[in-house]
Amino acid sequence: MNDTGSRLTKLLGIGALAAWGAMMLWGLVISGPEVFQRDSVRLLYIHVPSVFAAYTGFGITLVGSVIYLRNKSRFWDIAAHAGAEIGTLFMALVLITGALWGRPTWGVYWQWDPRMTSTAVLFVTYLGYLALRNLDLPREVRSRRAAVVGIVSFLNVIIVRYSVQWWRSLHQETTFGLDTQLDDSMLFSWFLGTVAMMLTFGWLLVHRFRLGWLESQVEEQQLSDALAERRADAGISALSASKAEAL
Amino acid sequence: MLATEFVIPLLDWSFEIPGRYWGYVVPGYVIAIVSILAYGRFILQRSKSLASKVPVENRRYFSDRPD
Repeated sequence: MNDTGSRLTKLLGIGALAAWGAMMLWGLVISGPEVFQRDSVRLLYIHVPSVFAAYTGFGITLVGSVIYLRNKSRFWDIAAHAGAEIGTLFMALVLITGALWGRPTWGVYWQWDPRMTSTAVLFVTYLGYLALRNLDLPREVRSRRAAVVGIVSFLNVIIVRYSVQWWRSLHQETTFGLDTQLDDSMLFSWFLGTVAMMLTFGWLLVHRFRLGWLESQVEEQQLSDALAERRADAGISALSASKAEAL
Repeated sequence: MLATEFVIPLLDWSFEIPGRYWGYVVPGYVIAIVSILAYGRFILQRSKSLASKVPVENRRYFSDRPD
């Protein structure tokens, strides 16, 4: 087993692999093409679940940031960072699979319409959050600033979510919901895609959180080593000065 | 440059194959799988390099049992 692995990650990993296999079987082989979108509909079985995974990651960042600002919990600080990093990965997949779906469906890879523009801004915002996390600052300062950015950035998730209702958009309104009317095999493929993405998300989150914990421990160790070294140097200097005075 | 000169024309060409619309679908799945695997590998590699620096007793939340 690897350094951040456990029984939980093993179960999540095996579940994710099985769900990916089943989703690809249904999504690429068993379910048929859609009347208008033809085979490009198959991209939606990973595009929409990637949105769910990205929003879940950003939601964890929001919750973690709020809790961190209240009680300075290191657990939630690391969870917020992990959620943002994995959310950004899935948001990149949303943009890529969306562009690939857009070309055969709309005739263009990209259009500066409200949904796509706000999604691109959301992606860049969380890249900024991750850049802030890598600044060479004291941990408390860095975590506090990141928590503020993590809370403010989530507002854009709401804008992205409702952009297709608030403004005239090339992007269609919400397709998947409780009242969705889809062919059973398509709906099942999408369901399998959602399970696969969320299990993958869970597997990555646990590993990334534990990596974050290791990073914080190493950082703390380096800080205490540097302090000890400085104290030792200061002690030696003080000793030399007192000897010089005595002479 | 690579995207405009090579990748997009290739995708467009594969889309034009009669009766097949897989030119965009398969790259989408490949990109998703490769990205996730690459990121997962990055996490595991980095944790491997850091784990030796952190004593086992300082690894909270590494067990599935509550601490």
